[in-house]
Amino acid sequence: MSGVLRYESGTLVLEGTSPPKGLEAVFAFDVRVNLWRAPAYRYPEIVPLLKNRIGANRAPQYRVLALERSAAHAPYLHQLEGLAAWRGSSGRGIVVLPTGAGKTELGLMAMEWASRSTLVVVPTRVLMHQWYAELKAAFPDLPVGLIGDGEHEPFDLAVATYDSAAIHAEKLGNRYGLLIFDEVHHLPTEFYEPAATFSLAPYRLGLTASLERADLRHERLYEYVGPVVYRRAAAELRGGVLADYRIEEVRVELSRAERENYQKALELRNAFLEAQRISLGSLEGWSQFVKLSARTEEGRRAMRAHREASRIATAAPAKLRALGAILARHPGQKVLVFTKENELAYEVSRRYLIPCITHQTHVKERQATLEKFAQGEYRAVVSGNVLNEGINVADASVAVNLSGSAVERELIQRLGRILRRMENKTAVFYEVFTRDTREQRVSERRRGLGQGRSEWPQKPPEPPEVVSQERLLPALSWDELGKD
Amino acid sequence: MLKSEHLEFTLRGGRAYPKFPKRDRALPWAESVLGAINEHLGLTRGQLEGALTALEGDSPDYNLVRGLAHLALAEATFDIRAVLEPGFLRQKVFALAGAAGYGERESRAVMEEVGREYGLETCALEENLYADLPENHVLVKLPGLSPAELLERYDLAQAQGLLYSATRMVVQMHRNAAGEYKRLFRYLKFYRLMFAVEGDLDSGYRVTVDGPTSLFAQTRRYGVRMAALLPALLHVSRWDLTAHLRLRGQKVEYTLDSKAKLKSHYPQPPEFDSMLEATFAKRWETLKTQWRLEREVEVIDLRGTVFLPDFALRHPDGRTVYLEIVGFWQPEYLKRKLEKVRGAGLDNLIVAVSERLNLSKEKLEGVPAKVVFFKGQLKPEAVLDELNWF
Repeated sequence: MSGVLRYESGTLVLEGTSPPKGLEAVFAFDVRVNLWRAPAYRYPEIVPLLKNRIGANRAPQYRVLALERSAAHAPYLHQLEGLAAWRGSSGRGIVVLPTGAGKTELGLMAMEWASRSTLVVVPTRVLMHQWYAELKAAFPDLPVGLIGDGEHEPFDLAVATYDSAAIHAEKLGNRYGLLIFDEVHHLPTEFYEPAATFSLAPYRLGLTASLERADLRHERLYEYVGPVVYRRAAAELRGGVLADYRIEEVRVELSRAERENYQKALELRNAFLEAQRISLGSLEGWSQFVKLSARTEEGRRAMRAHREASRIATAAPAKLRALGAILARHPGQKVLVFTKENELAYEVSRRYLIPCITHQTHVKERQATLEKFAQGEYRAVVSGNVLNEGINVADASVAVNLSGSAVERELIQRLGRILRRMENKTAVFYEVFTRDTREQRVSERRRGLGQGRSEWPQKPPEPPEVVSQERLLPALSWDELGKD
Repeated sequence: MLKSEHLEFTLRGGRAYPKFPKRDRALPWAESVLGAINEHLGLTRGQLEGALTALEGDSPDYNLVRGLAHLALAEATFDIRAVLEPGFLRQKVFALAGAAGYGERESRAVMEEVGREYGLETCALEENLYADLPENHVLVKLPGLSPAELLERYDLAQAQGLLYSATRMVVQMHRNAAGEYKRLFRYLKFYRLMFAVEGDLDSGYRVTVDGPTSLFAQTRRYGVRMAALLPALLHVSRWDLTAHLRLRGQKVEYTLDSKAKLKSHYPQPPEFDSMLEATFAKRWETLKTQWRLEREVEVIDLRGTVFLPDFALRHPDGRTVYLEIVGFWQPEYLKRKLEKVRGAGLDNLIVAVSERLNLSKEKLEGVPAKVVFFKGQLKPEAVLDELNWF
């Protein structure tokens, strides 16, 4: 027996022999180097046919690990069924479950079963942080690495962003036996695909709540992640209770100087729009404005005026004073502050010495901050757009929305952060906006009030699923939100 | 290199053309961008970015300005300016504020308390709190580019930017010195690109460049690396290039040749690999012989790598003998070099080996060449003697 199978930059190379029967179509002869070469992700098809036919298999460099979780909850039926279906498909496939059904848990169960070096790939830094914390809690004796966000720690257990997993695909491709793709619908793009196709990992698990993409690219996942092995809709997992809550409007006024500048900026912009016969009421009008503003000096000036107007409205100093009043009203209670812009978040942090979390915050600092918030050492956290989803904040009952977009889903998500049920709890959600500006309309629109055009379909999200599992996001429906 | 949003190009008749800005329009921008940067030495990135936005103003040239600023800032250095480690300071004041309660009065009290502890003014402490945010980093080293140089970088970066979308690149090379070829192939390996070589010395060499997985599907995965290769290619004297791009959903070609008015900012490769070769070439000139010493050599394809002898010796009667000088190499490099020589299977090769390498006869086994040992400098006469055997 001669011949060696090697891993090389996202491919498998056969040295000193030709591919046996059944593999002629998997390998291609590479005239550039006079060797047979195959895509790395086809490793599981290749290995059984090469067994006992070649001298050595040097391709995989991942390890067998004793992965036993320190403390696991009793799994839900759908998690058990999902795992069984995935195992039945040789540990390759996609599980589709609604938000909050415990997909992370299922991932940990898959790791326990596969017991191989595992790379978890996630689309955002927030999810990276969340998986990092989960892995550390589940396998406390093993170091957990981060790949991305300024870190490069390709340990046996690691969490990577899609970006970094793709950038380093050539090097990571033979280091892991199991790949978990969280929010797997992000994967099928030309840039991200190498995170899967350059890897020889025999086990792959894709997790998502919404697999289907309008461009149908999700079909490519069946080739390099595996088929859909299990799917449950939200209605099939019904249940759930939420805390009581109320929404309070806080209208702040622009100062006279601010009001003047605001008006001036709006007039400048509107003069341009009128001259060009553009109406911003439609998406088409907006894109026309963007196009024209790139071409002429007047257009650029109008666009700057537009930005200036919205900056004045969102960053009004009166808002910071209003926040001070709200903080004084809830001494000792845990408060979450949300902003749209990072600048405003940092300004809040500087003025009231409240820890701030933005996309720039390092994962480890973010985790430490949230831990201290949970323990009560910090009593408030301010966030620029990153805590909208995924993070489970313990016993917070007060949230302040200092600025946001008109998207209803964002409001539902932000409100959801304070709705975990507790004895006698009534959550308060403050909507702070500048009176008689575009901001007021935006605030009304996200709450479904007024005549504003909604950027989000008015269809209510699915009702909440599974009862009382600790780290479920409380999903809530638009109908409940509107009743206030 | 530029970001994709900075790129300016047109597609016409299946071809891509970068839009190079007119010099009289672009040079003043380059001057003012560098001027703005120079004025901000010791100030923060946020302040500098504000100044650059003000500079761009309402001009439709904003993309040019942003591209120039992007390239200039890539050559500048920013640093954190902080007395206390910002993360440490944050933990400290946030914990105190959490205990004191949130309000402007409470904040002031916390800052004063911490200020007293470290002997710092409150305002210094405030600046320190988020000194690690990129916008608070301080400009400590200027780009060191003249406006004209910045413009050269910009034009080159526009050409490189088109290559981001390349699935494959074909370089046709013609009669170049061994040193120039060597440099290019070294860069190809450095950027982990693969190549196939076809052709011969007279008709030129056609080098097709792509990556390992290009064998299975067309991919733009290797485009950025091809872009990084372009400045190296500009140091080769005679070539033309056809890049196959997938751009805006179309398959288009981008062509470029050595006559292009693009300037490389990669260091100019030395004319000779070593002093040893340079001295040898100079001495050969003084020799009375019909054998001409040439630096334009054949590229010998070894599948996955190439062997490029240092010199070709050509006789008017048509004979050609290659000369490879093995000077002072690291053992590992020497091993690979000898493997290459063996693999080349040439029957017209002289290998000159320095005695300082202490190479035993076994190590040279299987080297299909006449071997000349030399002490210190390689004497042309010693090589000339060996030439009589061919």
